[in-house]
Amino acid sequence: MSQESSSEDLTILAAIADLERGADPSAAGPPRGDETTETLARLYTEVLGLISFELDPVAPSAGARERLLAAIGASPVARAPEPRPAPVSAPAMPAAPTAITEALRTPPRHSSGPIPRRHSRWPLALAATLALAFAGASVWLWQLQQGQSAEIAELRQELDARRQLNARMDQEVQQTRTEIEKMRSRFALVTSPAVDVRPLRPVGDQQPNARGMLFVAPDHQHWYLSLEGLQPATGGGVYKLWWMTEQGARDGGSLVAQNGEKIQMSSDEMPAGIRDVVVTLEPDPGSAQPTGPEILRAGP
Amino acid sequence: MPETGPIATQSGSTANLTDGALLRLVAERQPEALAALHDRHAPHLLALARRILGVAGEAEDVVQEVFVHAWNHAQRYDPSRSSVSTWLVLITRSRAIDRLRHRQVVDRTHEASHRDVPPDAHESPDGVETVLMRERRERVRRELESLPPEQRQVLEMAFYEGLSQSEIAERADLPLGTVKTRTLLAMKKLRSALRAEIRQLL
Repeated sequence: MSQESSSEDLTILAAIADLERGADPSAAGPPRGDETTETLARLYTEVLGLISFELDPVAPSAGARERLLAAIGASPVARAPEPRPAPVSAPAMPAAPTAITEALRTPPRHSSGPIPRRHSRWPLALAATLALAFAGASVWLWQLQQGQSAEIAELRQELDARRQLNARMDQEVQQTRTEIEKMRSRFALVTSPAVDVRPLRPVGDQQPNARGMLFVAPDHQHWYLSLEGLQPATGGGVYKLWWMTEQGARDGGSLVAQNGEKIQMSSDEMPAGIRDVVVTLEPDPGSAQPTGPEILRAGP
Repeated sequence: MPETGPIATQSGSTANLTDGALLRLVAERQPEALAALHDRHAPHLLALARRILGVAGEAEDVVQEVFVHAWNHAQRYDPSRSSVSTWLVLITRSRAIDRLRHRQVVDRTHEASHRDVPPDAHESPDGVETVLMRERRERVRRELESLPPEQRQVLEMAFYEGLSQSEIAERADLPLGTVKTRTLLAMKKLRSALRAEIRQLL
């Protein structure tokens, strides 16, 4: 809405407010604003004054004029003789009062000096009301904006947390899928009628309760190892799996035993020409050849 | 240009005087001028008072009060603020609505306000209206009828029933903003449509 339009609206509403209060529309008072506002106020006052012209006129009752003159303490003024002439016709009253004629010849009192103006307070009241309304609206909007900002920040944090949670869930789901896939693969491996099963038995008296089972797929590439009863390594050593081939021992990986829990290993790589499978307790985790005591062994 | 044309019952000395000139004479305590103003405007003001009050006798009283007020307060009239015609109309309206409120009439609908009006109340009596006034009435009526009903309704409730914008909103079961918007639209349309009439009054 343009400023001019807004000003016009305010002028109209002020005129309506005057109407509600029954304020004298023509009572002298302070200027209602700038020249434009004054003009608009005048125009809309005239609009209000014109509304009732939609009504058909009603002839006053006989004697209304005389009663009026009596009420102001004046003698009845002669009325035009009957019959009445047509509208916009020549004057009907026989003689013009001298006072009126004289008054018309002399400059009217109204134009000779300003009529004392009654100071109306409605513009100030309206301005104060508008200022208060504007201030209130500003504070309300500021509070609303602050509240919305805080709410948006909270929502963002919650959204970030949800995203992180979703990412973790996705990761877990993926891990679970991978795990399930491995389990299916192992299950398929161990239940395959063509699988090569080699039991691992303890060597010596160090781990008499340890035992295991090695499942080798027919392709001699995929394999699955399950160990039980293996005690945790002590003294900084580590259990290692070795593939014993004609070319020597090949590192099959490290095993971590925890209080006799079941240990599982699997892979899709296996060296060719395996004769034995050995688990040793290596004092040096980086050892490329078995140097420690044998714990388990699976023969051909 | 005279604000309104002379009417049949006016005397020759006042027939060609503008409303403003007549009011200046009233301010100088010339009863003839007041009588001329009465002859010129009373029919229309009486119609307005009857429209608001619905009772002919009370309407006559209101119109007489208005002219007595004009007699006593003509000096307060500021021609830069409104025409004499509008001044008289709005004073009549205000007085009539004051009476209406005093009576504590609850039902002030359009129909109710006409309940006591005789069937011929809106007939235009011969001789009380000039050609200029008749043309004005026809133009104003036409423009008011061209307003959307909802806009005309809020305008009439404000003007004839003396309801505030809040009261209109409550009675019509509308948001206050809607009432104000309709009022603004109606007023702007009337201002535009009645340019010629307003120009005659300025």
